[in-house]
Amino acid sequence: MRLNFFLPFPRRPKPGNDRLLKRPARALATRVFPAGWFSESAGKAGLLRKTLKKIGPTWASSPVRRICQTVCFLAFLWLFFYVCWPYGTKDYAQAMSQKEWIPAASFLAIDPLVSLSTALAAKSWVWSLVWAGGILLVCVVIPRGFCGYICPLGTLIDLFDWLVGKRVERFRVRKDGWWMNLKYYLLLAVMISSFFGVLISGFVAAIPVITRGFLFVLAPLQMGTLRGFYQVPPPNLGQWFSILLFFGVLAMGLWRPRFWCRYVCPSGALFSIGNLFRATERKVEDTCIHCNACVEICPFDAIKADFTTRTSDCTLCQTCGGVCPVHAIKFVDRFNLSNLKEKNDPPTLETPLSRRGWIGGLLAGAAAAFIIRLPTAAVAKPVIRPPGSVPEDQFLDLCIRCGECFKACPNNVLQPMGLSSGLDNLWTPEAVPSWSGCEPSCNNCGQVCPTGAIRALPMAEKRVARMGLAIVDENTCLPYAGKEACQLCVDECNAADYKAIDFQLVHASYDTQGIPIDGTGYLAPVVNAELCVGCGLCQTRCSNVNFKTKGLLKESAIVVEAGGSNEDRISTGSYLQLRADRQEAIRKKSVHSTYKVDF
Amino acid sequence: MLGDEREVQLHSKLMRTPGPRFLSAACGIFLVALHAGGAGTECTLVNPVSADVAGQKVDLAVGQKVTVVGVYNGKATIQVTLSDGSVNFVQTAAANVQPVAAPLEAPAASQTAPPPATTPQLAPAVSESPATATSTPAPNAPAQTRTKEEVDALIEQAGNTAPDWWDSTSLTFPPNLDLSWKSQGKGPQDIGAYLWNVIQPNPGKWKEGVKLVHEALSRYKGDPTVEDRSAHCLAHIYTEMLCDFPRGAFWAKKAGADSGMSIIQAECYMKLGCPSASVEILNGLGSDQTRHGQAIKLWAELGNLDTALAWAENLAPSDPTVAYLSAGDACRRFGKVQQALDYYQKVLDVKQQVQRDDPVNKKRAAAAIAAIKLFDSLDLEKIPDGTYRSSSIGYVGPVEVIVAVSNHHIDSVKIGSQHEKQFYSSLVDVPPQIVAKQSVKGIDTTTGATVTSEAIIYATAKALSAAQNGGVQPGGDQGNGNQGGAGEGGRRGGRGEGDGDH
Repeated sequence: MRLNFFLPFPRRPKPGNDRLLKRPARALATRVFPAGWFSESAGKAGLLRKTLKKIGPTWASSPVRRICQTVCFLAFLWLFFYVCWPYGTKDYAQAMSQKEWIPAASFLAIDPLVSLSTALAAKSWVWSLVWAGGILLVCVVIPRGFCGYICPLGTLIDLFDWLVGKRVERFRVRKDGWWMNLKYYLLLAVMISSFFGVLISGFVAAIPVITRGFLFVLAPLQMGTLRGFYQVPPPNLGQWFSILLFFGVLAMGLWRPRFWCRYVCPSGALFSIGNLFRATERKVEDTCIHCNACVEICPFDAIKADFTTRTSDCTLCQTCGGVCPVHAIKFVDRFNLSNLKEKNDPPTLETPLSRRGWIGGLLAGAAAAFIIRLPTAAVAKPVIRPPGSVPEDQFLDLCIRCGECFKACPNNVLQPMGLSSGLDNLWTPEAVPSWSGCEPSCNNCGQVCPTGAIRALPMAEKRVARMGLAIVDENTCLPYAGKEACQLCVDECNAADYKAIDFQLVHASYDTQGIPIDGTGYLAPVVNAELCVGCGLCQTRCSNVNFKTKGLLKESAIVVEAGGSNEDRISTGSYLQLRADRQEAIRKKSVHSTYKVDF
Repeated sequence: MLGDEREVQLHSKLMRTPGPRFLSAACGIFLVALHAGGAGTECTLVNPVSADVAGQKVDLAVGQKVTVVGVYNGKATIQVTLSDGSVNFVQTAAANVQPVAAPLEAPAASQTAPPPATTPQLAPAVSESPATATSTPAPNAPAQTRTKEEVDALIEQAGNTAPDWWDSTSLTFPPNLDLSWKSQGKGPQDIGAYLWNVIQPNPGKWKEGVKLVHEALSRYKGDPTVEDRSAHCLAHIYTEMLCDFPRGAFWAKKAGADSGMSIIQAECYMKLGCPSASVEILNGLGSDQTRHGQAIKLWAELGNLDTALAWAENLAPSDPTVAYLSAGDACRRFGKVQQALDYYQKVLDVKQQVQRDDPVNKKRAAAAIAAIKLFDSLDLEKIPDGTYRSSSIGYVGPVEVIVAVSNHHIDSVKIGSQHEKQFYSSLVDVPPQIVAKQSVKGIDTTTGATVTSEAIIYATAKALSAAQNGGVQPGGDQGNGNQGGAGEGGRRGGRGEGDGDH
C-alpha cells in the first residue's frame, strides 16, 4: 500500500521517466485543464508548480494538506460566524437551522478529547463519541491527520507562525527539554480529573480553546459592527482569562513553530496514542543522504536526527516527502520493511517519557479535581441554566465550556460565568435575564451543545422546559407598592405566548356596602407557577424600562430564580409530560361544584 | 395590541361598555380589547390575510367581512369556515382588521347583532338584509330577529342548564375563603373581594369564577344574602365577561328588579335579537340612574341617538361627567366627531367633583380626545413640508422616529436613536410600510416585535400630528412616553403612558 500524495518539490522527474505522468488522476487533469498548467515530463515547471513554489515549500510539497486545512478553516469560520448568527428572520431557531448544512458544532464533536473526557466525567454516553470514534478511525489510515489536516486551531497557529512567529526570533528555544512530552502528562491530568468528575479539558482541548478565543475576541466585534456595540455584554474576568489563554497558545509559536500542537495539546496527545493503531506511516529508505532537509521542514518535530519517523507525532502531512532531494521518503503501510534506513544513526538523544512527568500529571489531575470542586459550595444562589440543561451535577460534568451556546444564543441571554462564581462554574452558560430574556422562538443552545449538557429539545418541549420561576418582589413592584400602574411583565409574557402572569387587583377601595369602587387600586402581577418557564422576558422588560430607562427601581421587581422545584432538570424524558403530570395533580385537587339554579 | 388608533378608540369606547362596568377602569386595555373581541365582532379586512388551516390554504381578501372572536396582544383571531363546513380560527395582526361597527371608518354601514361567541348553540341573530335607509341612518340599529317569547324561551332553556364548559373547568380557591358574602368585601378572605381582585382581572379565570359562585350557592342553600349577591354576581359575569347573554338575562331576572339588573336584561334582549323588548325596559326606567350611563349607551346601541342625548342632558345636572362622556361616546359611535369632541371637552370643563367617578371619567374623555386628534383627524394634506421627530417608549427605551414630508407625501420614515435589542427586525420592517401606505393605520406589526413596531407607529403618528397642529411637539414630553395630543385635554392620563407602548 502506498499513500504518497506529496509533489516532489526540488527536482523534476528524470528524463524518460514519465511514470508519474501516466497516473490516472494526472492523466485526467491534463485532459481537463490547459497543458500549460502542468510541468513537462523533462522540461520546465508548469504554471501550477511555479505558483505553488512561489507560495512556499509546504504548499509546493504537499498542496493536498494545505487545501484541506484551508477548506476546514473556512468551514470553521463559516459555522462560527455565519451559521451561529441567529439573526435575520423573526424566528431565531429557523434563522440558524436553515443555514446549518452540517451541524454547527461539528468541529467540537470531532475533537475526541471533548467527548471522551465528558463521557468519563459524567460516566455516561455522549453522542459526540460517535464522531470522535469516526475521526479516530480515519486516523488509522492518516495517523494524527486531524492535527495536520483538519484542526482549525492548528491552521490558525500556522497562520500566526507565518505572519508573526517567523519574524520574531529572539524567543526561539533551540534545546530540547522536559516539556517535549508535556502533552501526555497533560492528557493524564485531564483524564484523572475527569475520572473524579471534574472537567478541565475545556481549558486545554484544541477546539474549545479556539472556539472560546473567537467567541471572546471576534464575536463581540461581529456583534458590535453588525448590530451595535451596546448589544455586547461587558466582559468579566473569566473572559479575559480565556482570552489570555488563547493568545498564550498562539504565542507559544514564538518558542517554536506549532509549539502548542507539538508539545502541549492534549487532544493531539490522544491522537498520538491513537497512532499506536496506525495502518500507515512514513518510512525512510536507505538511499537517505543525511541532508537534514526533512528535519528542518517537519512542522511536528516528528523527524529526529536519524531522519526516521516518530510515529506518535507524524501527521502524515508529507511535506518531508516533497522536499527530499533523493526521494528516500515514502508513505506506506506500517509493515513495509524493505530498504529501510537504519535507526538511531546518528544518535538522536531524545527526551524520554519520564516517570516524574507521569506522576506530576497524575497529581496535577487529582489536585485540579480537588481545587476546582472546592469553591462550588460557596455559590449561594442556584444558577439559571439554559432550557433543557441536565441536572446540575451532571451538567458540570458534561459542559465542556466551549462557548458554542453563547454564539448561537440570540441577544446574549446566555453569558459565560466568571471567576467570581468559582472555577467549577467558569465559562459555563448562565441565563442573564437582566440583560435579555430567552426567546420563545429559539432552541439553538441545545442544538449546538456538543456534549448534551443542554439537551437538543424540539421547540414544543423547549417551550415548557422550566429554567426557573419568576418571583415578584411585592415591596418594590410598582402596583404592589401602590406607586403606579404597570403591566410590562404581563404584556411581555402574553406576547411570548406563555400567558403565565395573571393579574390581581391590589389597593382597591370599597364603599360602605362592600361594593368595590371603580378605578381604585392597581392591577398587580401574579406569576402562575404552572405556566412560568423562567424565560426572564418579564425581568428584562422591567429592568430595561423601570430600572434603566425610567429609574423608578433599583433593579427589576420581577426576578427569575432557579433551583429546587423552580426548574425542570431531567436528563431523559419529556418536559411536556412533566407539565401534564403537574396539571393532572392540580385537577385532582380541584373542587367539584354543581350548577345550582333552584332557589 | 391593536394598532394604536384602534387601541385608543377601544380605550375610550369600550372601557365603559359593552359591559365592563364590572371590570371598568381598573382593568388594563388588553382586557377590554379581549372583551370587545369576545362578543364576535364583525370586522372588515384592511390587509389581505392568508394562512394554512387544517391543511387548507385560506386566503382572505381586503374588504372581506370577518368575525373576530378575540383580540389579544396585537393579534386578532378570525373565525373562518372551510369548504368542508368546519369552523376554524386564524390569527393575524389586529391591525389587519377594522371593526364594521366603528362609525369613523364606516358611518353608514348596516350593523348586525353578532351572536355571542360563547353560545354557539344559538342560531345567529343576524339580519342579512341591509338596513334600507328608511329614516336617519342608524349605524348600529340592531334588527329584530326574534320575538320576546322566543328570547324568553331561550333564556329559560339556557339558564336551567349548565354551560358546556362546566365539566372541563376546574375550580381551585384558597381553603380559607369565606363564601358567605358576609364580610362585605372587606378582608382578603371575602368572596366578593376575591372575585373582584383575583378573578375579574384574568379572563382565563372567569369561568372558574362562575363555578365559585355556584359553589357558594350550594354551600349556603336558603341563605337570602348569599342568593341575592350570587345572582347579581352571576348576571354580571355572564353578561359582561363571558358574553353568555341568555344566562346573563336569566340570572338578572333571578336577582330582582333594580335598575342595574334591568339594564342587563335590556342589553341581553338586544343582543339576542329582540331590541323591542330592550326599548320597552328602557322606557319603563324613564331615566338613566346607573353609575356609568349604561342606559344612555344602550340607547345609542339601539340606534337612537336622540334619546341617548336627551337622557344625557337629563342626567347632566346630577352627574355631569358621566352624562357628557356617554353623550360623547354616543356621538362618536354615530360618526359625529366634532360633536363628540365638544361633549368630551365638557367633561374636562367640569370644575367641581360632583361624583366619585369624576376623575376616572375625565381621564377617559382626555383619552378619547387624544385618540381623535392623533389618529382620526390626521390628514396629510394639512401637513406642511418638513422633517419631524418624535419618540415613544419601545422595548428598552425611547425609539426616535424622523419623518420627512414633502408635497403632502411621507417621503421617508427613519429610525433615529434607539437601543432596542430584542426585536431588531421591526426597525427594518415597519418604516417602509408607513411610507408605502402613506398612513399610520393598518400597519402590519412585526410578529414578536409588537412593542417596538408600535412604538415606531405611535412616534410617527405623534410627529405627524404635531406637524399638523402647527409643528409644536405635543407637550414637549417626547421620549418619556406621554402620548399627549395637543392642548390641555390632550394628555392621556392614568395608564395612558403604558398603553401606547404595546
